[in-house]
Amino acid sequence: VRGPDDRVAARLVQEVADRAPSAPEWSDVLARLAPEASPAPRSASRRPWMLVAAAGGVAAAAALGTLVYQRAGTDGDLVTASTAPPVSATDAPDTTSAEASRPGNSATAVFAPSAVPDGFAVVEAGTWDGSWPYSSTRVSTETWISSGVDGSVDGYVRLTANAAADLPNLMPPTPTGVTVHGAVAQADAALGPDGGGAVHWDEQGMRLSVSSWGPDAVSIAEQSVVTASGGIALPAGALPATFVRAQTEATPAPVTGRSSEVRWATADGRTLGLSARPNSTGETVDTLGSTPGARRVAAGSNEVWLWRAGDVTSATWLQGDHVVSAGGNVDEAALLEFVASVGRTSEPAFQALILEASALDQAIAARDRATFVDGVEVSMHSDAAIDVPEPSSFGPRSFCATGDRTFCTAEVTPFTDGGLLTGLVGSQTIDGEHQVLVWLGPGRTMTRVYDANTNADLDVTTAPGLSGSFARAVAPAGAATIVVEYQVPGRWYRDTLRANLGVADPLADVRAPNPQAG
Amino acid sequence: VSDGPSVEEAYRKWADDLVRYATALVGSADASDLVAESFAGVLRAGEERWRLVRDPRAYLFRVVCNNGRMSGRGRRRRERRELVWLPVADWSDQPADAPVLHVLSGLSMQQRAVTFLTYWEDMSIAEVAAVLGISQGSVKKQLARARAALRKELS
Repeated sequence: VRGPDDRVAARLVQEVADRAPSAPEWSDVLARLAPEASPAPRSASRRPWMLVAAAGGVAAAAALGTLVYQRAGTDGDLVTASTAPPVSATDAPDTTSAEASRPGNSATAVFAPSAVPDGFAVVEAGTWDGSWPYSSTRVSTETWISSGVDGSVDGYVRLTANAAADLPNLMPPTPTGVTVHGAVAQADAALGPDGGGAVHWDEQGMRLSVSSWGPDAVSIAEQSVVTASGGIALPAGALPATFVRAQTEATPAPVTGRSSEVRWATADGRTLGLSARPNSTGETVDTLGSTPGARRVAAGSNEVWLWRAGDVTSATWLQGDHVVSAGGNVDEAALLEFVASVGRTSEPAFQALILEASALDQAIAARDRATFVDGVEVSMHSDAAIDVPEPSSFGPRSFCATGDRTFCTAEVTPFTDGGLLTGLVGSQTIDGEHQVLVWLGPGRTMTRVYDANTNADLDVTTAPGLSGSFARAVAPAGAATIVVEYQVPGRWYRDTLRANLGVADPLADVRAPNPQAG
Repeated sequence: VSDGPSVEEAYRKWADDLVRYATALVGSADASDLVAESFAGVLRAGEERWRLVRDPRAYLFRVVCNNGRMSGRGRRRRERRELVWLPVADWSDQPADAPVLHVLSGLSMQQRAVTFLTYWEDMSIAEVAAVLGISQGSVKKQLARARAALRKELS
């Protein structure tokens, strides 16, 4: 440390280092090795922690996660350790979406297995609009795969060209210094010594991307030919002779439909996940083999890519016009059996899974609760103490709301300060409306809640809790980020909570029986 | 091909260092998650690729930094339906007795990385450049800008 500026910087990093949380458990890392087609929510390993907590298990993941929009239903066919009360077939919930309830309708298909390995209980389930709007307008794409003598994938290259106007925020403010065709480029992923990785740049009004493992991504990008009409293509001889172009439509037609995801866990912390999304990217069985060492095998009527990483086995395959993925801490035989049982399922059957997950959320201890003037009761559940700093900010949390039904979701974002739980933000459907839920810890005063995109204030209803305070607001249509500003006594600035809301689930209006009604 | 530590051994050896580094990049609320996700990504890439890594520690610092950048991208967050912090705003939730931490919100991700690697990890300019995949000149420039920003903010 030489001069005053150095001392300031050194002091800064010292304070940063002092405030660093403890590292997560290795088991948390392994728990994240879940299906690739629909990236695992970061909350995925939270529930296993709750399950093992009573048995003195280890801590798991940070509680950042996904919004799951839910309702409940019935289906007695699944071999799961259900935590929800049994519901008879005659109690199947009504649906406000006739189309959604039509099994076999590809636009609304959701997927579930007919059986899961013994000991696995549903901890998370949800569906959401999986159609194209969240991706960009595709101009072209091509995929190249190299296979070893045993048929496993040992190289993968994908080039894509998208309409740049659809992706205003892709490029970060700190480019790495890499250029492609003279344009500033962003190297996205970790570029290992083997040269793999991903690189993105803008050219001729398009956002171009090359992702690769094996050949050098930047080198491939430099060799690519970009035209405004045709997008991006590789000239002959650009890749080693072992690479074969997989059959990919250059401009896949947008596919509308539903994405869905279900997660299971065992009491000893093992996880199993299933996700499905519409095949908007025009994948074929060939192009799905993008994972090093993946093998192509049969599972029932499905032709799947299968691979292992650590003690997690994963598989991905095409089922109709959906890309489906599964993975978990199970052996290959068990996963293939699971995969073979996966199929499109009815809305009531999927709702039964959602109800099980909700019941698990409600089992977390309530730390605060309030009743709003319209009679809606909201409770905040957490394993963390509110007024005593905790050594870790991890652990299960949930919001439960009782309006015309009771429903809970663990898909919340917690905010902590020195290990003290200070706030929680989530959203769920209450009385048919997609609502933002906020809990603030003792002494904190909410000053403003607004849509980050429009800067428009939300119409907030508040209710005092037993220790903190609650607030609700209807989520504006199309809102992506909600900001909650609040004041903390003794501070000269306002704190903020920010949460991305995701999209409303088309099943959000489905009414379900109260899971506690038994 | 490296005969260095396995991914799990590397985790047990350097996870705490990486969490401190991630705290500087994205804030304490997301730091552990970022590190766990980064190691999960390394595992997904496979052991064969890991064995090709010549300097595992530097490689992991780079992975965490790159993933930290990616975590701030709105489109990906929406695709994943996640509730997340916006990275630059992370430092808003800090105690009043540590206003110095607040100035981090005024630094770019790369400036935070350069600052932390220089002053906490005691890396040389060349080492920081190698970890971040940028030139030594860029490291010097970013470090100078970070120091100037800190001086201005804290004066």
